[in-house]
Amino acid sequence: MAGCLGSLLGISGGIFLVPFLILALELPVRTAVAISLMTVIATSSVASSNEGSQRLLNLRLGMLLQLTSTVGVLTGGLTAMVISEQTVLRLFAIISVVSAIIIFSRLGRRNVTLDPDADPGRLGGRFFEQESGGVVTYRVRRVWLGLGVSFIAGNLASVLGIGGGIITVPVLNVWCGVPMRVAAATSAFLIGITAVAAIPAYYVSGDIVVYLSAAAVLGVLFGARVGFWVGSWSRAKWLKLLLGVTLLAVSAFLFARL
Amino acid sequence: MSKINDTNRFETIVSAVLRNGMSVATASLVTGLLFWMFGLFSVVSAGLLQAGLIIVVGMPTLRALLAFSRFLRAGEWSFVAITAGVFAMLVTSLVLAF
Repeated sequence: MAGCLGSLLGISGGIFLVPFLILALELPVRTAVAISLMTVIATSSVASSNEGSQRLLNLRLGMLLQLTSTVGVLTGGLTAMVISEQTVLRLFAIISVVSAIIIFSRLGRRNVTLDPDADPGRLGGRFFEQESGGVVTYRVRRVWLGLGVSFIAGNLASVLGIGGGIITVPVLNVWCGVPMRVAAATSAFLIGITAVAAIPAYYVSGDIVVYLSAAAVLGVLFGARVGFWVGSWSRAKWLKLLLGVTLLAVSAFLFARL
Repeated sequence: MSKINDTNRFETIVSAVLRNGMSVATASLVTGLLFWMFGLFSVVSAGLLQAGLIIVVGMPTLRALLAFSRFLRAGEWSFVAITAGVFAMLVTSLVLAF
Protein backbone atom coordinates (compact mmCIF):
# COMPACT_ATOMS: atom_id res chain seq x y z
CA MET A 1 0.00 0.00 0.00
CA ALA A 2 2.73 2.45 1.01
CA GLY A 3 4.83 1.44 -1.98
CA CYS A 4 1.87 1.77 -4.33
CA LEU A 5 1.12 5.35 -3.33
CA GLY A 6 4.83 6.01 -3.25
CA SER A 7 5.53 5.16 -6.84
CA LEU A 8 2.32 6.83 -7.94
CA LEU A 9 2.73 10.14 -6.18
CA GLY A 10 6.45 10.41 -5.47
CA ILE A 11 5.89 10.16 -1.74
CA SER A 12 7.43 7.42 0.29
CA GLY A 13 4.57 6.09 2.36
CA GLY A 14 6.63 6.43 5.55
CA ILE A 15 3.85 8.64 6.82
CA PHE A 16 1.63 5.54 7.10
CA LEU A 17 4.34 3.03 7.91
CA VAL A 18 5.90 4.76 10.95
CA PRO A 19 2.66 5.10 12.95
CA PHE A 20 1.74 1.52 12.01
CA LEU A 21 5.05 0.12 13.24
CA ILE A 22 4.87 2.07 16.49
CA LEU A 23 1.19 1.56 17.28
CA ALA A 24 0.45 -1.90 15.85
CA LEU A 25 3.79 -3.66 16.24
CA GLU A 26 4.83 -1.68 19.33
CA LEU A 27 8.34 -1.07 18.06
CA PRO A 28 10.54 1.65 19.59
CA VAL A 29 10.32 4.94 17.68
CA ARG A 30 13.92 4.87 16.43
CA THR A 31 13.57 1.32 15.12
CA ALA A 32 10.36 2.24 13.30
CA VAL A 33 12.03 5.30 11.80
CA ALA A 34 15.04 3.26 10.63
CA ILE A 35 12.82 0.62 8.99
CA SER A 36 10.80 3.33 7.32
CA LEU A 37 13.96 4.97 5.95
CA MET A 38 14.97 1.66 4.37
CA THR A 39 11.60 1.40 2.64
CA VAL A 40 11.87 5.02 1.50
CA ILE A 41 15.13 4.17 -0.26
CA ALA A 42 13.62 1.07 -1.86
CA THR A 43 10.55 3.00 -3.05
CA SER A 44 12.78 5.65 -4.54
CA SER A 45 14.82 3.15 -6.55
CA VAL A 46 11.84 1.21 -7.83
CA ALA A 47 9.86 4.32 -8.67
CA SER A 48 12.83 5.69 -10.61
CA SER A 49 13.71 2.45 -12.33
CA ASN A 50 11.19 2.63 -15.14
CA GLU A 51 12.17 4.63 -18.18
CA GLY A 52 9.00 6.66 -18.28
CA SER A 53 9.77 8.06 -14.88
CA GLN A 54 13.39 8.64 -15.92
CA ARG A 55 12.21 10.87 -18.75
CA LEU A 56 9.94 12.87 -16.47
CA LEU A 57 12.58 13.35 -13.82
CA ASN A 58 14.10 16.82 -13.74
CA LEU A 59 17.65 15.85 -12.79
CA ARG A 60 18.96 19.44 -12.46
CA LEU A 61 16.15 20.57 -10.23
CA GLY A 62 16.35 17.29 -8.29
CA MET A 63 20.06 17.64 -7.62
CA LEU A 64 19.72 21.27 -6.60
CA LEU A 65 16.96 20.42 -4.11
CA GLN A 66 19.00 17.44 -2.93
CA LEU A 67 21.63 19.82 -1.67
CA THR A 68 19.38 21.56 0.87
CA SER A 69 17.60 18.30 1.62
CA THR A 70 20.83 16.57 2.75
CA VAL A 71 21.74 19.64 4.80
CA GLY A 72 18.29 19.25 6.36
CA VAL A 73 19.11 15.64 7.24
CA LEU A 74 22.38 16.60 8.89
CA THR A 75 20.69 19.23 11.03
CA GLY A 76 17.83 16.85 11.91
CA GLY A 77 19.54 15.95 15.17
CA LEU A 78 19.44 19.60 16.22
CA THR A 79 15.77 19.92 15.32
CA ALA A 80 14.98 16.89 17.45
CA MET A 81 16.63 18.64 20.41
CA VAL A 82 14.91 21.99 19.94
CA ILE A 83 11.30 21.03 19.30
CA SER A 84 9.26 18.08 20.51
CA GLU A 85 8.08 15.30 18.25
CA GLN A 86 4.53 16.31 18.96
CA THR A 87 5.11 19.84 17.70
CA VAL A 88 6.59 18.47 14.50
CA LEU A 89 3.61 16.18 13.96
CA ARG A 90 1.19 19.03 14.63
CA LEU A 91 2.93 21.29 12.12
CA PHE A 92 2.91 18.43 9.70
CA ALA A 93 -0.82 17.91 10.05
CA ILE A 94 -1.44 21.60 9.37
CA ILE A 95 0.83 21.63 6.33
CA SER A 96 -0.98 18.58 4.94
CA VAL A 97 -4.39 20.22 5.23
CA VAL A 98 -3.21 23.45 3.61
CA SER A 99 -1.55 21.58 0.73
CA ALA A 100 -4.65 19.46 0.18
CA ILE A 101 -6.91 22.52 0.02
CA ILE A 102 -4.63 24.23 -2.49
CA ILE A 103 -4.39 21.14 -4.64
CA PHE A 104 -8.17 20.78 -4.69
CA SER A 105 -8.58 24.43 -5.65
CA ARG A 106 -6.26 24.00 -8.62
CA LEU A 107 -7.43 20.68 -9.99
CA GLY A 108 -8.24 22.04 -13.41
CA ARG A 109 -5.11 24.16 -13.85
CA ARG A 110 -2.04 22.87 -15.62
CA ASN A 111 1.55 24.00 -15.28
CA VAL A 112 2.46 23.22 -18.85
CA THR A 113 2.13 24.98 -22.18
CA LEU A 114 1.62 22.99 -25.35
CA ASP A 115 4.22 25.01 -27.25
CA PRO A 116 7.28 22.76 -27.74
CA ASP A 117 9.41 25.82 -28.63
CA ALA A 118 8.62 27.79 -25.49
CA ASP A 119 11.72 28.59 -23.45
CA PRO A 120 11.84 26.32 -20.36
CA GLY A 121 14.59 28.39 -18.71
CA ARG A 122 17.58 26.90 -16.97
CA LEU A 123 15.75 24.57 -14.61
CA GLY A 124 12.57 23.87 -16.56
CA GLY A 125 12.03 21.17 -19.11
CA ARG A 126 9.78 19.57 -21.66
CA PHE A 127 8.36 16.12 -22.05
CA PHE A 128 5.96 14.15 -24.17
CA GLU A 129 2.57 13.88 -22.58
CA GLN A 130 0.04 11.31 -23.71
CA GLU A 131 -2.82 13.27 -22.23
CA SER A 132 -2.14 16.40 -24.29
CA GLY A 133 -0.93 14.40 -27.27
CA GLY A 134 2.29 16.36 -27.68
CA VAL A 135 5.44 17.79 -26.19
CA VAL A 136 4.67 20.15 -23.31
CA THR A 137 6.96 22.74 -21.72
CA TYR A 138 7.17 24.04 -18.18
CA ARG A 139 9.26 26.59 -16.30
CA VAL A 140 10.36 26.33 -12.70
CA ARG A 141 9.40 29.33 -10.56
CA ARG A 142 10.27 30.28 -6.97
CA VAL A 143 13.29 28.00 -6.72
CA TRP A 144 14.06 29.41 -3.23
CA LEU A 145 10.76 28.03 -2.02
CA GLY A 146 11.61 24.59 -3.38
CA LEU A 147 15.01 24.77 -1.70
CA GLY A 148 13.47 25.74 1.62
CA VAL A 149 10.88 23.00 1.45
CA SER A 150 13.40 20.32 0.60
CA PHE A 151 15.48 21.43 3.59
CA ILE A 152 12.45 20.92 5.82
CA ALA A 153 11.69 17.62 4.09
CA GLY A 154 15.24 16.39 4.76
CA ASN A 155 14.95 17.50 8.35
CA LEU A 156 11.68 15.63 8.83
CA ALA A 157 13.13 12.59 7.08
CA SER A 158 15.90 12.19 9.60
CA VAL A 159 13.62 12.72 12.61
CA LEU A 160 10.39 11.04 11.52
CA GLY A 161 11.57 8.50 8.93
CA ILE A 162 9.34 9.86 6.22
CA GLY A 163 10.69 10.72 2.79
CA GLY A 164 9.21 14.18 2.85
CA GLY A 165 7.61 13.82 -0.58
CA ILE A 166 4.25 14.52 0.95
CA ILE A 167 5.24 18.18 1.32
CA THR A 168 7.72 18.47 -1.56
CA VAL A 169 5.33 17.27 -4.27
CA PRO A 170 2.46 19.67 -3.45
CA VAL A 171 4.82 22.65 -3.10
CA LEU A 172 6.63 21.91 -6.36
CA ASN A 173 3.34 21.44 -8.14
CA VAL A 174 1.40 24.35 -6.69
CA TRP A 175 3.99 27.09 -6.16
CA CYS A 176 7.00 26.19 -8.27
CA GLY A 177 5.24 25.52 -11.55
CA VAL A 178 6.34 21.90 -11.82
CA PRO A 179 3.82 19.54 -13.49
CA MET A 180 2.41 16.80 -11.26
CA ARG A 181 4.14 13.86 -12.91
CA VAL A 182 7.49 15.65 -13.05
CA ALA A 183 7.12 16.65 -9.39
CA ALA A 184 6.41 13.02 -8.46
CA ALA A 185 9.36 11.65 -10.47
CA THR A 186 11.74 14.30 -9.13
CA SER A 187 10.57 13.72 -5.57
CA ALA A 188 11.07 9.96 -5.98
CA PHE A 189 14.68 10.71 -6.89
CA LEU A 190 15.09 13.15 -3.99
CA ILE A 191 13.77 10.95 -1.18
CA GLY A 192 16.22 8.11 -1.96
CA ILE A 193 19.43 10.04 -1.36
CA THR A 194 17.83 11.98 1.49
CA ALA A 195 17.09 8.71 3.30
CA VAL A 196 20.58 7.37 2.50
CA ALA A 197 22.03 10.40 4.27
CA ALA A 198 19.85 9.69 7.32
CA ILE A 199 20.68 5.96 7.58
CA PRO A 200 24.26 5.99 9.04
CA ALA A 201 23.16 7.53 12.37
CA TYR A 202 20.55 4.78 12.83
CA TYR A 203 22.92 2.05 11.69
CA VAL A 204 25.59 3.01 14.18
CA SER A 205 23.13 3.13 17.08
CA GLY A 206 21.97 -0.39 16.14
CA ASP A 207 18.40 0.62 15.33
CA ILE A 208 18.24 -1.20 12.00
CA VAL A 209 16.62 -4.57 12.72
CA VAL A 210 17.71 -6.56 9.71
CA TYR A 211 14.87 -9.06 9.27
CA LEU A 212 12.12 -6.50 9.93
CA SER A 213 13.70 -4.04 7.48
CA ALA A 214 13.98 -6.81 4.88
CA ALA A 215 10.33 -7.75 5.26
CA ALA A 216 9.19 -4.11 5.05
CA VAL A 217 11.36 -3.47 2.00
CA LEU A 218 9.90 -6.50 0.20
CA GLY A 219 6.35 -5.35 1.00
CA VAL A 220 7.07 -1.91 -0.40
CA LEU A 221 8.71 -3.33 -3.54
CA PHE A 222 5.58 -5.31 -4.27
CA GLY A 223 3.34 -2.30 -3.66
CA ALA A 224 5.42 -0.12 -5.96
CA ARG A 225 4.77 -2.47 -8.89
CA VAL A 226 1.04 -2.03 -8.40
CA GLY A 227 1.60 1.73 -8.33
CA PHE A 228 3.19 1.72 -11.79
CA TRP A 229 0.33 -0.16 -13.24
CA VAL A 230 -2.21 2.29 -11.85
CA GLY A 231 -0.09 5.32 -12.76
CA SER A 232 0.23 4.36 -16.40
CA TRP A 233 -3.49 4.82 -17.09
CA SER A 234 -4.49 7.60 -14.73
CA ARG A 235 -4.80 11.25 -15.69
CA ALA A 236 -2.89 14.10 -14.01
CA LYS A 237 -6.16 15.34 -12.53
CA TRP A 238 -6.83 12.01 -10.83
CA LEU A 239 -3.31 11.88 -9.46
CA LYS A 240 -3.83 15.32 -7.92
CA LEU A 241 -7.14 14.22 -6.47
CA LEU A 242 -5.52 11.14 -4.98
CA LEU A 243 -2.71 13.23 -3.50
CA GLY A 244 -5.23 15.65 -2.01
CA VAL A 245 -7.26 12.84 -0.45
CA THR A 246 -4.09 11.18 0.88
CA LEU A 247 -3.00 14.46 2.48
CA LEU A 248 -6.37 14.90 4.15
CA ALA A 249 -6.38 11.32 5.41
CA VAL A 250 -2.89 11.74 6.86
CA SER A 251 -3.74 14.97 8.64
CA ALA A 252 -6.99 13.52 9.99
CA PHE A 253 -4.97 10.62 11.35
CA LEU A 254 -2.37 12.92 12.91
CA PHE A 255 -4.98 15.18 14.51
CA ALA A 256 -6.76 12.15 15.91
CA ARG A 257 -3.55 11.06 17.62
CA LEU A 258 -2.54 14.43 19.00
CA MET B 1 19.24 15.63 -32.17
CA SER B 2 22.34 13.82 -30.94
CA LYS B 3 21.82 15.41 -27.53
CA ILE B 4 18.33 13.94 -27.34
CA ASN B 5 19.62 10.46 -28.26
CA ASP B 6 22.33 10.79 -25.66
CA THR B 7 19.71 11.70 -23.05
CA ASN B 8 17.63 8.65 -23.92
CA ARG B 9 20.66 6.40 -23.69
CA PHE B 10 21.52 7.78 -20.25
CA GLU B 11 17.97 7.14 -19.05
CA THR B 12 18.07 3.59 -20.40
CA ILE B 13 21.34 2.90 -18.58
CA VAL B 14 20.12 4.37 -15.28
CA SER B 15 16.85 2.47 -15.32
CA ALA B 16 18.62 -0.79 -16.26
CA VAL B 17 21.09 -0.34 -13.39
CA LEU B 18 18.31 0.41 -10.91
CA ARG B 19 16.09 -2.43 -12.13
CA ASN B 20 18.83 -5.07 -12.04
CA GLY B 21 20.15 -3.83 -8.72
CA MET B 22 16.72 -4.01 -7.14
CA SER B 23 16.12 -7.49 -8.60
CA VAL B 24 19.34 -8.75 -7.04
CA ALA B 25 18.42 -7.09 -3.74
CA THR B 26 14.93 -8.63 -3.83
CA ALA B 27 16.28 -12.13 -4.54
CA SER B 28 18.82 -11.78 -1.76
CA LEU B 29 16.23 -10.51 0.75
CA VAL B 30 13.64 -13.18 -0.13
CA THR B 31 16.16 -16.03 0.20
CA GLY B 32 17.59 -14.55 3.38
CA LEU B 33 14.14 -14.17 4.95
CA LEU B 34 13.09 -17.72 3.99
CA PHE B 35 16.25 -19.15 5.56
CA TRP B 36 15.64 -17.03 8.66
CA MET B 37 12.00 -18.17 8.97
CA PHE B 38 12.94 -21.84 8.78
CA GLY B 39 15.99 -21.39 10.97
CA LEU B 40 18.35 -22.63 8.29
CA PHE B 41 21.95 -21.54 7.77
CA SER B 42 21.72 -18.59 10.14
CA VAL B 43 25.06 -17.18 9.05
CA VAL B 44 24.14 -17.33 5.35
CA SER B 45 20.72 -15.88 6.06
CA ALA B 46 22.14 -12.94 8.00
CA GLY B 47 24.68 -12.36 5.24
CA LEU B 48 22.04 -12.40 2.51
CA LEU B 49 19.80 -9.98 4.41
CA GLN B 50 22.70 -7.62 5.09
CA ALA B 51 23.82 -7.78 1.45
CA GLY B 52 20.29 -7.11 0.21
CA LEU B 53 19.92 -4.06 2.43
CA ILE B 54 23.36 -2.76 1.48
CA ILE B 55 22.41 -3.00 -2.20
CA VAL B 56 19.18 -1.12 -1.47
CA VAL B 57 21.12 1.68 0.22
CA GLY B 58 23.76 1.68 -2.51
CA MET B 59 21.33 2.18 -5.39
CA PRO B 60 20.49 5.88 -4.93
CA THR B 61 24.17 6.59 -4.30
CA LEU B 62 25.13 4.87 -7.55
CA ARG B 63 22.40 6.82 -9.25
CA ALA B 64 23.81 10.13 -8.03
CA LEU B 65 27.24 9.03 -9.30
CA LEU B 66 25.73 8.43 -12.75
CA ALA B 67 24.16 11.89 -12.64
CA PHE B 68 27.55 13.33 -11.69
CA SER B 69 29.21 11.72 -14.70
CA ARG B 70 26.46 13.03 -16.92
CA PHE B 71 26.84 16.63 -15.74
CA LEU B 72 30.60 16.26 -16.12
CA ARG B 73 30.35 15.01 -19.69
CA ALA B 74 27.87 17.73 -20.61
CA GLY B 75 30.25 20.33 -19.12
CA GLU B 76 27.54 21.70 -16.82
CA TRP B 77 29.97 22.87 -14.17
CA SER B 78 27.51 24.46 -11.79
CA PHE B 79 25.64 21.15 -11.57
CA VAL B 80 28.89 19.21 -11.22
CA ALA B 81 29.60 21.42 -8.18
CA ILE B 82 26.08 20.91 -6.80
CA THR B 83 26.34 17.12 -7.13
CA ALA B 84 29.78 17.18 -5.49
CA GLY B 85 28.18 19.15 -2.65
CA VAL B 86 25.54 16.44 -2.23
CA PHE B 87 28.28 13.79 -2.00
CA ALA B 88 30.10 15.92 0.56
CA MET B 89 26.91 15.87 2.65
CA LEU B 90 26.65 12.08 2.36
CA VAL B 91 30.25 11.67 3.50
CA THR B 92 29.63 14.13 6.35
CA SER B 93 26.64 12.07 7.51
CA LEU B 94 28.87 8.97 7.61
CA VAL B 95 31.63 10.79 9.49
CA LEU B 96 29.21 12.28 12.01
CA ALA B 97 27.64 8.88 12.67
CA PHE B 98 30.89 7.07 13.47
